[in-house]
Amino acid sequence: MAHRSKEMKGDRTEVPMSAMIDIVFLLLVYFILTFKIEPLEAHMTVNLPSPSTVPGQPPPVLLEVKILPDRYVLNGVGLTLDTIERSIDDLTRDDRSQTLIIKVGLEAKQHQLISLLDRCEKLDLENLNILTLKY
Amino acid sequence: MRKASDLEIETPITSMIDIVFLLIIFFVVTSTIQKEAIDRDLQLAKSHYTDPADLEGSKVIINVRSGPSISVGMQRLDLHNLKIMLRKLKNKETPIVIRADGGMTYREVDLVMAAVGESGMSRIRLAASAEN
Repeated sequence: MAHRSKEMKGDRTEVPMSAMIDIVFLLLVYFILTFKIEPLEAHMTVNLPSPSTVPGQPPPVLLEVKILPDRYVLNGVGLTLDTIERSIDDLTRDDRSQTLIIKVGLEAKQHQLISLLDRCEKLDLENLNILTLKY
Repeated sequence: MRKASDLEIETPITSMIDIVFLLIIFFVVTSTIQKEAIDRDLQLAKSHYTDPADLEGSKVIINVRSGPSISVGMQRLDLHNLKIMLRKLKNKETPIVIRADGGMTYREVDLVMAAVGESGMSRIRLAASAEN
């Protein structure tokens, strides 16, 4: 008893932290190992053909781009991605709200479509309609 | 005077624990369930001019791999079940994000887009990896 009362008088009260620190370090290691940087993604808005469209009476088509496996075709002329961007830029300079119809070939790659949509975003084109080009 | 053998060497760990707790709070806050909706193994096509989108918020994210192998969240679906799931959505204006592998042919992506369209959903977004 004498020993105990001497200890309480002279020393500070200490909270045992070792176990908690062990768990905290385990948590930290877990989070570090499972942490991944959030990838940056761009989302490109497109329109699908509306079911309410009356067949046989399409809206006036001003711009139509076809995506084929090896090239892009604008109003019947085969172009590369850079040249098609310049052509679309020239044709839509006065009105960026024009509707662009994109007809994608079944054998075209998804990255071709994304690249074209990306260039359209660069040109601030908003009305992008996607159709499937069936041979 | 105290004997040398009585002295205890204590490492000051208070500040280290503070930092460790801060790190844990950071990791807990940045880990969200939303991340699980993303299939990280997909190789998205790259975009250079489109602004990065906010992954948070109400939207349906459809991951499409070659096959097409479709998954929404952790759930694998076929085209039929995808349509059923989308038809159950009350808000038809909910954005649908299609995350398709950049190397896939459009033939496979078209199947998914057609299923989304047939389900009455109108707001479709195609995902790309933002490189700008």
